[in-house]
Amino acid sequence: MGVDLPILWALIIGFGLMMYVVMDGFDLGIGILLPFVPSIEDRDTMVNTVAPVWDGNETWLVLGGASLLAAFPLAYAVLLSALYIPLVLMFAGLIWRGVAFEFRFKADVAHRPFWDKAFAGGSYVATIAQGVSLGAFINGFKVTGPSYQGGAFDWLTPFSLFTGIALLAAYALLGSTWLILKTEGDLQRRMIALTRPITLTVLISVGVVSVWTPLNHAGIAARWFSFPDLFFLAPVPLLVLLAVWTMLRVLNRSPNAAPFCLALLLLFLGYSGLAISLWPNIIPPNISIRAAAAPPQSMGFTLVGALFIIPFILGYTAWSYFVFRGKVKAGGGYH
Amino acid sequence: MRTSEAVSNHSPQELSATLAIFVLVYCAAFGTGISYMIKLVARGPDASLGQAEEILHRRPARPLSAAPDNVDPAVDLVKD
Repeated sequence: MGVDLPILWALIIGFGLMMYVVMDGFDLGIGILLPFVPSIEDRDTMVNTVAPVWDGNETWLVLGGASLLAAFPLAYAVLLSALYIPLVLMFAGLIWRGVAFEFRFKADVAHRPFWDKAFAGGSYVATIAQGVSLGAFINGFKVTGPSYQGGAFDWLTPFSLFTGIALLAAYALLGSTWLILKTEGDLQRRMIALTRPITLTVLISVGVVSVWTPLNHAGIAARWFSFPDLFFLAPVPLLVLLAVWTMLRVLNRSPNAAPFCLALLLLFLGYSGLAISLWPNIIPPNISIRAAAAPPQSMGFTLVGALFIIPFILGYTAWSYFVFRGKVKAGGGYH
Repeated sequence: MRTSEAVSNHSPQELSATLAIFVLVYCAAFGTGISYMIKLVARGPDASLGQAEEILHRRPARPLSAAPDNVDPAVDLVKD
């Protein structure tokens, strides 16, 4: 077969993870922003903007995990073992927040604050755990043969804690710009006001990660700062600056969809930067997608299933967003 | 490959702690859910929900939409 299976699978998993980050990003972002919005009615509207679609967003996490097992079993074994504690905390956060999401609509007024805190708390825990995992992933893992050899808390470093906090800002940006798109009136004005400091926080976080990472990893520094690659890769940071500048400008003139599109662009750029830094490794610092790949027979076999199912997932996702398009009005819920 | 060869090198303490986290989260989630369902059962069927329009209004939603909004899922720790 003329298809490069490991690369194709890496693209599928990369795409799935990006879809996850984008889609669960804005609904986790709504949980992150909830404590900044005091009015119960506005909180209901915020949660209602994602109520019809949020369950589907986590499909991509399942797809990513299952694909990793099928296509890169070594990466599945090592990453899940190395990130065991943060991932357990992430799942605990996601489970708890999913339950709170359902119950907050049913609760008595007296118990509402409890479920709101549960929803926000679960979102914070899940997001920080994902960001910490990302930081630990960039730092790399100790691997001998087919197994992870590091300690249970190797993932906990100042860098990974920073990426944990940075991801809070990134998801808050997705959430606030999503709400600018989906709401109107007071809530939208509040979100426009919040988006400005969040955008600057994201810019600072991206800047810090972009300096901190090459300082820690000579290989990543060489990737970005060698000649002539410098010229080919320069558009990534320049586009980040351009996107932030455009964001700050559009926030001044009654924006609607533009901030969300710019937030997606920023996220895509950050994701590309990460891919450029780590390629072709699937287990940093030195195990490549080829070394971790499953036998071609199993990659080919599972590819048939993946290529069959992914268009359906994309199709129903697009359909449900289309059906629930437009502004969500206060009091009009789908719950 | 034997099970002993496939086992990860996480310590028993680590695995017990994470198992405890899952038990706790599931007990809280399902405990609330079960107490909520018991409350719904105790209330019995709502006669006013019989109208076709009401059912139609609730149809395109999620499983919990079927339940009325005026029953509180919170667990009553102090029974009166």
